[in-house]
Amino acid sequence: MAMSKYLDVFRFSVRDQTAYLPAFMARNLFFVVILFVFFSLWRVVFAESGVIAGFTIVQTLWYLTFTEAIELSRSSVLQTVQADVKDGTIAYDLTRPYSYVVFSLARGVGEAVAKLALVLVVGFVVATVFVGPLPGYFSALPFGVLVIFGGIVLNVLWHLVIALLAFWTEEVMPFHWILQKLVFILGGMFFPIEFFPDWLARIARVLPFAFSAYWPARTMVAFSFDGFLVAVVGQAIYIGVLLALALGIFALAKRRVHAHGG
Amino acid sequence: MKPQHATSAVASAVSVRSLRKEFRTKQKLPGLGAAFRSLVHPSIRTITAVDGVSFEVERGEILAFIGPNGAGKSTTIKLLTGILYPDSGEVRVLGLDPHRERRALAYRIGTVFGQKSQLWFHLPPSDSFSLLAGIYDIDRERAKRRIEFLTEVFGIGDLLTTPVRKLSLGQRIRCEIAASLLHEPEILFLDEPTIGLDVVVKERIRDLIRTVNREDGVTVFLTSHDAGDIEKICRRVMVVNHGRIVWNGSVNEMKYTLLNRRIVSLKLEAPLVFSMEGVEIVKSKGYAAKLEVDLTRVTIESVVSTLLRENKIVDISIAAPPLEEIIASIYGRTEAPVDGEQTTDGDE
Repeated sequence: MAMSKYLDVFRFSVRDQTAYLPAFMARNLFFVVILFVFFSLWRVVFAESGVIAGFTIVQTLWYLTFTEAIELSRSSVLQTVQADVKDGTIAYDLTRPYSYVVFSLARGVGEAVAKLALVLVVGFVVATVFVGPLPGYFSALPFGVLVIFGGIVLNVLWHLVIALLAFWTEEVMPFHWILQKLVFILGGMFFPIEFFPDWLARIARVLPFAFSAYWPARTMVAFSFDGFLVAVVGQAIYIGVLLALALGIFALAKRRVHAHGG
Repeated sequence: MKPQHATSAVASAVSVRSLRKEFRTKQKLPGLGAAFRSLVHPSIRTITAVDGVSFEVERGEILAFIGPNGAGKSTTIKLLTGILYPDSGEVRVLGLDPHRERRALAYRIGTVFGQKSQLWFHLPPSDSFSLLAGIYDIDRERAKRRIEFLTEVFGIGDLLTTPVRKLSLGQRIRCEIAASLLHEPEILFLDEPTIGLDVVVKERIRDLIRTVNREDGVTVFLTSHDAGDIEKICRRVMVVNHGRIVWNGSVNEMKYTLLNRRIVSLKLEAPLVFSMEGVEIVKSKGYAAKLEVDLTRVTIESVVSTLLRENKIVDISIAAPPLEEIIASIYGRTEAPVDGEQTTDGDE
């Protein structure tokens, strides 16, 4: 019964997004531009050799499609929670019979899933037009969907943790920018971690940032069951750690609500 | 001066004893030097938001809790709903300690706070109702019956499928109050429920609050700046200022005993001829006049009999001053306590 209320929040959050989807659809133009720019870039790079670090141009562009799809479908949980903290309205959520952290997580994941569905469809069409279909797409899809979902949950949790820091710093966007750059670079947002020097790739693969971008995309473009298991287990561990962190920060932060009178 | 309200511990929905809450806030002094100094040696201001307050609210009562901005209303409501914990004193709401048993209390109270809507902006109210039913663990069948009942009482049948963003403010408030009653709370906390509404809609909301109180037996704890809300909905009013309760009694008692003044309005056959100790002629123009009578100095009976003796009166009415004036006068005569606010140096 306790979990079902959060599933309801997730469900209604997906539904709530339908009002924003036309505007979001327009923003997908940006997605098409990114894919075009990278397609042009990779075409030059791959002209010399057909395969780099085990990846073909088809795999590399599809890889970017998936990492960007996760990034572009990010929820507004960071802005919402930060605003709740800054204007004090978070206090009123304490009078409801739910955990604010889990409620915000469910709402954020619902929002991101609704956006993701649309971005994946756009990505599928655009990547197919640019480089042709991805070999093994449909056989990897059931596993890929699971870890792409895991990547989204991780992103929402990161944003939640950062937004809750507003209890101390009020403005949290700098933390967000730092995280975003870490995911861009160490998380393998723009290209697979295999393109890094070996020593850096070994480190980057186990960092949490890779489980938001690299591992879900790799599961789709270079599927192996072992790789999928690493992705799932890694995501489960980092989701657990970040959820515990968010709950811990919120427990501490509640005392700040008290100190400032809401 | 302050009448004691008859209460019973068993019947109490809310029981508050010697409640006290202070806030300590860092002061930002002007200038760069002061900014650096405050990093090492911050200046802290202590504000007593609630200062030894005691009161009871009976079950089924409609109580107005009023005061100027910064008087301690909001802090008191936050203490009652478990958002804040008291520095000292005791709070019991429906027999529960709000801060320690906040989750259990959440199932038994309803809240409507203007700053935080519980309706989802892009979804129709029916969706928010379904979601709230899930949040409050109400089973589907019970939720359906309850939504039907509230839809009928609040007259919101034709609004249920319209996205909340397309509702007028009055329609939205009706849906907000209905949403807060979905889980059949025993106490309803309403923060400024009629603010920004036009006269007709205000009247409708007031009617609904009275109906809910009568039909469901819900205790209503209401804050408002609108004298009409207080006069038309509430039987009892509690005025808080500088963290202290400065009036706790019935609305009628407040009107008739707090300010010993009456307004006498006259229509005459000839211009007014009148002079009396304790009576001020507020307005006299042509064949109409308005007098203000100080009942501590003269009785209304002697004023009226003198008026009748010396003038030919067509019409006369005697009224208490408007509630707004009474409330403003209560605020005005309660000065800040000397120890209510102090500045100290030290760590937060």
